[in-house]
Amino acid sequence: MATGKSLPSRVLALLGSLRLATVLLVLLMVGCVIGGLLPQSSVTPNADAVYRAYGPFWYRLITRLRLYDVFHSTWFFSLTGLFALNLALCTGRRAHCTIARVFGRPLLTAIPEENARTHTIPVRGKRAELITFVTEATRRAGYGRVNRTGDCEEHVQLLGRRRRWAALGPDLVHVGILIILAGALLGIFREEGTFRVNEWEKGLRLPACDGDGSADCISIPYDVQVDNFGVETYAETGRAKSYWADLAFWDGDDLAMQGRISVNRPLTIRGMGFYAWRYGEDVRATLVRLHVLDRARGVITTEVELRVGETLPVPGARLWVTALQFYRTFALSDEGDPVDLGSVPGGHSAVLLQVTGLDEDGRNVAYRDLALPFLPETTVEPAHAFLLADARCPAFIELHFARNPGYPVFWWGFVLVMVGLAAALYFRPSAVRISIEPDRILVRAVGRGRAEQAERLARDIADAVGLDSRKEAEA
Amino acid sequence: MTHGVLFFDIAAIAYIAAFLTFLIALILRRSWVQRAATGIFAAAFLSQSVGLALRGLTLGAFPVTNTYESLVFYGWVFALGFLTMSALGLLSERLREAVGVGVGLLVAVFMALAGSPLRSPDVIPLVPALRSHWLALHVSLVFVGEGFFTVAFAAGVVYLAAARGHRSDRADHLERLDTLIYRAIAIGFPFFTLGGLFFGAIWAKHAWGRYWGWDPKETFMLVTWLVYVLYLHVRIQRNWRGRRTAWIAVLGFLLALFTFAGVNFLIRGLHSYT
Repeated sequence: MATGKSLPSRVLALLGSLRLATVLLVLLMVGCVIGGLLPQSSVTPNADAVYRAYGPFWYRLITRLRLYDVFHSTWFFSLTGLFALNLALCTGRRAHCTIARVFGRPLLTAIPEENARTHTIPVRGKRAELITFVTEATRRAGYGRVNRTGDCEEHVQLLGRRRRWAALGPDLVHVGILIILAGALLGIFREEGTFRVNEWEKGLRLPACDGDGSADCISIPYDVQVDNFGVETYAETGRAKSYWADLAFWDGDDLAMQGRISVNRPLTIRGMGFYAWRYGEDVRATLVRLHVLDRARGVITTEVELRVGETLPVPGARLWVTALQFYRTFALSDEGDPVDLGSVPGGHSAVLLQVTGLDEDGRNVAYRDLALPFLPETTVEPAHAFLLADARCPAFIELHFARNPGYPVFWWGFVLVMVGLAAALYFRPSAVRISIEPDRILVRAVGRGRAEQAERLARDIADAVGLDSRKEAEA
Repeated sequence: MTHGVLFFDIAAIAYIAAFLTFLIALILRRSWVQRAATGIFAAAFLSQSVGLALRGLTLGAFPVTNTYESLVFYGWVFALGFLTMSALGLLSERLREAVGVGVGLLVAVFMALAGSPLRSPDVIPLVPALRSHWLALHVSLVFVGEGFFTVAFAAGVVYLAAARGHRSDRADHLERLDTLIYRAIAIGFPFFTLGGLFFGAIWAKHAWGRYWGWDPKETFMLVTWLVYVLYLHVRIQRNWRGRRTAWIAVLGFLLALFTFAGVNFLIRGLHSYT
C-alpha cells in the first residue's frame, strides 16, 4: 500500500473506522427489526409449526440463524461485540486530539475556516497595549482562555476559546455506551426468579435454597414470608388500581427486614430487589366442593371438599377422587378440548376429576369425569356422579426477585451518555481568532453562533480600543 | 367537556385551517397570510393545551395513558416543536410556511385519528403498571424528542420535494432546510435518548426488575435511536448533506411513528396499552 502503514495498523484503523461503525449500525438495526417483528422465544420453537408457517427455505434460515431468539444468537452477540470494539478503538484514536483540544495549547490550524466570518476593526496605537486591551475584551466576552498563538512579522495572533470541555462530548457518549454494554455483559451473573403465593399460603415462610424459584423454596440467601397481600380497586369501575404485599425477610431466626411492595414500588434487601409482578386468581389452587350423587337413589349422599391436585376418599364409597384441573368458565374448543375462558359472567365452572377405586362388584375402576354444577349426560360412572357445588379460587400475587451486578454500572453509563450528548449537541465549543495587525484588528469566530459572536466581540474590542484612545486623549 | 374532547375538536378544526392558511401563504408569498396562519396554529395549540390540562386533572395523571390521549399528546408536541423553533428564530419566513404546511397537516391527521370512532375518548382509569411518576417523564420526553423529529421530517420532505430538478436558485433555500433538519434532530435527540431509552429503562427496572427486556416497543425504540445516531455521525463526521441525510431524517421519523403506533397494534408486548 502506498500509505506505508503496517498491516496491524491498517486493521486497527479499519476496526475503529466510522465506515465500519456505519455498517455495524445498519446491521444491528436489521437484527433488531427482525427480532422485533418475529415472535421471540429462548427455546427452539415447534419445528413443525415453523415449517408449516414459513415453508422449507425460511424454516432453514430461521433455525440456522436462530431468528426465533435473535437477541441471544451468536451473530447478534458478535455484532454487538464488534460494535463495542469499534467504539473503543474510535474513542482511543480520538483521545489525544480531544485532550489536546481541551487541555493543550491550541494550534492555529485547530480552527476550521469553513463558514467563518471576519470582522475588521481599523486601529492605531501601541501594539503591546492593543494586545492587552484585546485580550481583556476577549476574556470579558466569555472566552475563558486567550492564548497568544504566534507572531508573524508584525502580526500578533490571539486565540480565545470557550466551552473547551464540550469537546469531550462525543467521547463521553462513546465511553458511556461502552459502560452500558459492560453492564449488560455483567448481567450474565444476574440472579433472578419468581414465586407465587396464594391466599391459603399467607404467612408461610418460603425457605432459601438453591432451587429453581418454585413456590416451595427460592434461591436467595434468606427466608421470605408473605404476611399479607391484596389489591386496591377503583371505586367506580372495580378495576385493579394497584396490588401490594407485606413481606418479611428472615435470616435464620432474626427478622432482617420487613416492608410493603406494590407495583412500581419494589423493595431491596442486600442488593436483591423484590417486585410485585402479577395478581390474579390462582386456578391451580382452587378449593372445590363436590356433591356425590347416588345414581340409583337419585339423592346426594355426601360431599367432598378438596383442592386442585389433591386426592381424597369419597365417604361411604370405596372411591378416591383427585381434582385435576379447574375451569372458571368451561367451554370446548373447536378440536373438542376443554378450555378455560376465564371469569365470564353467566358461564359454568367445571372441574376435571380422576376417580379410582372399586365398584359395587369389587372391580377396579379408574376414569376421568367432568363435574359441572348440573348433571351432564356424559357422566360415565355407573353408581356415583359428581356435581360441582362450590368453588373458591384464591387470589395470588406473583413476586419477582432480581439481583444484577450490572445495574450500578448502567447508571454511570446513562449519566455519561447524557452529559456527553448535552456537551456535543447543546454546548459545542467555540473559538475566536484575533489577528492584530499594524493598522487593523481582524476578528474571526468559529463554532456555535459564530457570526453573532464574532460581531459582538468585534464590537467589544472596538469599544475597548476606543475607550483606550479616549483615556489617552484625556491624559 | 370535562374530558377536554370539545377543546380537542376545536383544535383539530383550527389545525386544518392553519394547514390550509400556511399552504395559501406558501403559494401567495404574503407575510400577513403567514402571520395569520401562525396565529391560527397558536390558537389551535392553546385549545389543545387546555383540553390536555382538563383531561389530566380529570385523570389525576399525565394524560398519555391510552392511544386516544397519546395521539392527542403526540400532536401537541409536534405543534410545540414547531412553535418553539419559530419563536427561537430557527425558521425563516419561507421555512416557517413550508414546515407549517407539513406540521399542520400531521397534527391535523393525528387529531383526526384520535377523534375517529375506533378510539374511545373516555377517560379510562390507569392500570397498575402505569401508576408511576415515571409515566410523565418517560412519555413526555419521548414525545418532546419526537416533536423535533417531526419538524426534521417535515423539513426533510420539503427538502426532497424542492431538491427535485436541481434548480440552482433553490440552493440557499435547500441549505437552510438542511440546517433546519440538523438542528431539529440535534435538539430532539437528547430528549429522545433520555426519555425513551434511559427513563424507560429506569422505570422498567422499578416495575419489572430489569432495565431492558427486548420487548418489541423497546426494540423499535432502539432501532429509531440507531437511525438518528447514524444521521448525526454521517452529518457531523462525514459531512454528508442534502438528499441522503434528508432521507435518513424521513426514515427515522417513520420508524418513530411505527414504534409509537405500529407496535401497539401489530405486535403484542408489555407496552401494548389500548
